[in-house]
Amino acid sequence: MAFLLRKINKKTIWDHKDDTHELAADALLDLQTHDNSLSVYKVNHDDDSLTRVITALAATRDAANRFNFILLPISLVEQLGITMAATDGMTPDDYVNSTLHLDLINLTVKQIAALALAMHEHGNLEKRTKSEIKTSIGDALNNGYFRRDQLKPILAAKFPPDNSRNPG
Amino acid sequence: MNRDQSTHLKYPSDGTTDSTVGKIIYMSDYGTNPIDSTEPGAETAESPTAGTVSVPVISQSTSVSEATTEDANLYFYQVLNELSKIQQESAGEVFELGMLSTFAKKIMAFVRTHKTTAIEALHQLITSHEMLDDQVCEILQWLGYMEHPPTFYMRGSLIAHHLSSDSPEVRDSAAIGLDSLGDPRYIQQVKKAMEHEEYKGLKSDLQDLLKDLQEIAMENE
Repeated sequence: MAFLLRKINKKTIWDHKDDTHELAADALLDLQTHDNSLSVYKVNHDDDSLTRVITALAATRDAANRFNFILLPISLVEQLGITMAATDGMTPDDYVNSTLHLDLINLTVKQIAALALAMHEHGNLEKRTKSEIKTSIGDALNNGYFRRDQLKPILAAKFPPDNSRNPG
Repeated sequence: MNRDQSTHLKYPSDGTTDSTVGKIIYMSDYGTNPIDSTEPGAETAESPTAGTVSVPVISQSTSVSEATTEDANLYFYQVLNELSKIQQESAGEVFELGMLSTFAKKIMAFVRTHKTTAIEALHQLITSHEMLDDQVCEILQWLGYMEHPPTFYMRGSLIAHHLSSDSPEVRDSAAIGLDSLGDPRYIQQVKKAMEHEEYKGLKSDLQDLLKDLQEIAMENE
């Protein structure tokens, strides 16, 4: 089953405290559009695309800490009438950028609001822990998915050139 | 703001050393007393991740001259004023988890310059509710991530204090900060926070944090 992945900063806003928990407006900060487009990634649960995308996105950051994201079935996005276009991503992993990145384009306020509600009601809020992120970045470096010099200096410092698998 | 009204931070007992050593007053670099702690260990303590750290210690009964106290208070308010300016300049900055913001860079430089006094000022400004939650979250995350042995304990104490914040966003950031800091002496505080946490996602994050800290504790044994 194919999903769209969107990384999340404000995790507790998307988290369900109880059944009456409404989605707060600040959730839209996690759906910030540019030129009416929203960057997402297409992944599957039954192959390594999910780990590869998460790792690539985590590798764009300064700190190797927890990574929060929401997975939403692509079919639900299609039902909202949202147009998807394959475009290049902005991670250090060329495969992820060229193969797994999509933009949701020509978005309207109504569609963004509907997308937010769909993510809240039907999406899976998931995470990878700091330890998992460190391991996956180390593995990606060793597998040549991207290079250490593509990482930001603070993050690169956690992955010494000869010891990528066991960051300090 | 009145310094005396600030909430005092408590250090955890690590359960491995004599916690009856006594009350230690963590003075600022210039010798005042806004934050106290019960620190297991003697006059220096060892960071579990950052090597040996000299901790400034003055016993509670130490007398401080009036002039020194005045100098210290003046210095503290200068630091607090500087921090307040940094905070106001940052209003409106959008923060992204794991991304080093301009605000975080300034806060870390501020801590490296003013050391423990900076942590005291941060504590005072945060507890006076003059900071936005987003700013507090950013501070807690990066205080845990930065490497600066002279402030290791006080940063941990400040971060752990916010595991019981009213704001779930702040509690989440406190967990991230403590995870980055990696100090297993906060295990009991994390367990206590787990008992009270009502957000299932945050409770799960605290479980992850607890697991990480327990692994560090085992490695240190």
